[in-house]
Amino acid sequence: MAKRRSWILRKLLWLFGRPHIRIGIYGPPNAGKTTLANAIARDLVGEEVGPVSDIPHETRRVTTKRNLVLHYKNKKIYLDIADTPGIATKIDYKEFMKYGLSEEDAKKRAKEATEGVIEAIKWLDEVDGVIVVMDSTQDPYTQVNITILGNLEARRIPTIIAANKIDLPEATPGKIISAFPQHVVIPISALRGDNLEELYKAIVKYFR
Amino acid sequence: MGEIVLQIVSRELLHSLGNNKLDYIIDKILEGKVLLLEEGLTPEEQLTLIKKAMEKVDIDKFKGIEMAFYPEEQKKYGIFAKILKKKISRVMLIGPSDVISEIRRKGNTIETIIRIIE
Repeated sequence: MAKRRSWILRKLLWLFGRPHIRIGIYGPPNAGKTTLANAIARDLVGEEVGPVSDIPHETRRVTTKRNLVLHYKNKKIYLDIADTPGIATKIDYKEFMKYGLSEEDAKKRAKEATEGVIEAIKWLDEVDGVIVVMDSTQDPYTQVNITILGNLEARRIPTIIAANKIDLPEATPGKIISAFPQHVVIPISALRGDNLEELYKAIVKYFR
Repeated sequence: MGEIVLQIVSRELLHSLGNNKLDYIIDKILEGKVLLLEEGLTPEEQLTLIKKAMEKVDIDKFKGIEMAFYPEEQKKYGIFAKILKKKISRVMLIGPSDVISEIRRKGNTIETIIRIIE
């Protein structure tokens, strides 16, 4: 009976669209996930989600911003944004010391970062759609990116890839488009806010 | 000179392990072994393995894992793969990140640099 109700609900959402969308922002460390979450939140409510830094794993807990109002074709669509810690397969505190952290702080950061990865993975069950943020200046064909996208496909979670950092001269978003032709890829600069309108259109089209 | 054990794990063993497959893999990695799986993991298993690895991270002893694999060739089988829900698994290399120091993809080949810790 519960299964049947869930099926009917899904069909109704398919027909009329979701009035409220829960979006997870995922990706490897330093791809610009928090910068994007901040850009969206700033755009829609004039507030930020969390601090950004050049040091990997700056975001070590899932941070949410709820009830952001997106106006689209005279309709109000409510977005909940979950900015998640970067997914990584390894965490070495010595990497953080290269950015000037003391050994004690680096070890603390590493411990929190491992917990962050676990929390980010758990949050996949809580979202209606995922924006996977990739750095356009890096090779996109990494094991982490493939694993994240493979999971989203397996769970049938609608996905948009944000090919970030197109403001940098070495950015090649075309490589991301070529690497993952089965996915929607929107080239953006979260830092400058470039192409966010296209991202919003894609959110409404694919997540709603 | 140090040594690295490369263990080639057969499909039969992986199947016989059932739900204990990921724990077996993590235990071998914690022993410092590099594993070559005859049949790769599904995306869900890969993510669960990452989660298990993160739970085992010990700041000074174990920093995590490295994986190298080819994604499933599901696209080639299109609709039939979706109907049958059959995942086309492929060979996979997994090991401790302080042993597998680098993974390089070159077209249709994957190279891994294995570091021997003295």
